[in-house]
Amino acid sequence: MGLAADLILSARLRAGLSQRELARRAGTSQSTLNRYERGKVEPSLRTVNRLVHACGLELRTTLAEPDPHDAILVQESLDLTPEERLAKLTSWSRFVAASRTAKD
Amino acid sequence: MAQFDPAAILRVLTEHGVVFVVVGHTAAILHGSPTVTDDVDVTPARDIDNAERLYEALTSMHAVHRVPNAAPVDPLPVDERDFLRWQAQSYTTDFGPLDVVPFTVGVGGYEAVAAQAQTFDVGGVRISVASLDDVIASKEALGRPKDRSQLPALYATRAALLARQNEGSDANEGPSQAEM
Repeated sequence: MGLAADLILSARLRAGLSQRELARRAGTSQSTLNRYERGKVEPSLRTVNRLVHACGLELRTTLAEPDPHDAILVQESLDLTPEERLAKLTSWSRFVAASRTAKD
Repeated sequence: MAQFDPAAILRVLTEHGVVFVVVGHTAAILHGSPTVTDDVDVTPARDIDNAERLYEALTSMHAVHRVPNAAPVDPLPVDERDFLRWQAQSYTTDFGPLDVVPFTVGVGGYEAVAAQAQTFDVGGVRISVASLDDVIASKEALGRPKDRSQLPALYATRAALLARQNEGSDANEGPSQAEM
């Protein structure tokens, strides 16, 4: 699934529409809409915009500098062994548990 | 509440000879996804002997059924044939939550998951882990909000793994080393 699928599904859910109703409003078929939402077919930007409009919303986009934060996290994780990855998960779980206790 | 120790859960299952594949988000983490989870999901081979071994392993970890918003239900089902059914079953163990998932949405049962699984060495214990492609396919098929929110990190992990494999990097201590 990608950005288009997420945008279409989010817009439909936000508008409280069923797939059938949105497909009717947008002049497409429910099966096509379902393929868009599941990422099986990549719609054009124009189609995404049309579907978003059919939900009573508008699509706004802006340009931004890339954020390397997530890529850094992935690389740091790949540098660990599988054992170290599970150990890190255990440590995180203990931290969360301790935080809950402290709040009590 | 028991401290979550996924490595211990996997070690106990292996020591009891249970044939299984790690699935779900723990599998993704083993592949290198920089995300977290609070339970271990496994898909066991579905035969009566393995069901008996799984029952013994769960018993050794003092497993009790995990029911949302309710106190744990005790005891374990006395019939290991329960593990031959298709329903997922959730347990709380000495080492934290464990889900037995006979069928992975978007992938299939044990045979389908095992066909693409990779072997990881976790502290000297060799563990069969669902492929990252299968983990992603499952979360895409499930499509729940929590699954969709995890997908960007999984896609990024897969892309980074492919990039490392293409570079032939010796620094990759994930699947390439595990496939020895």
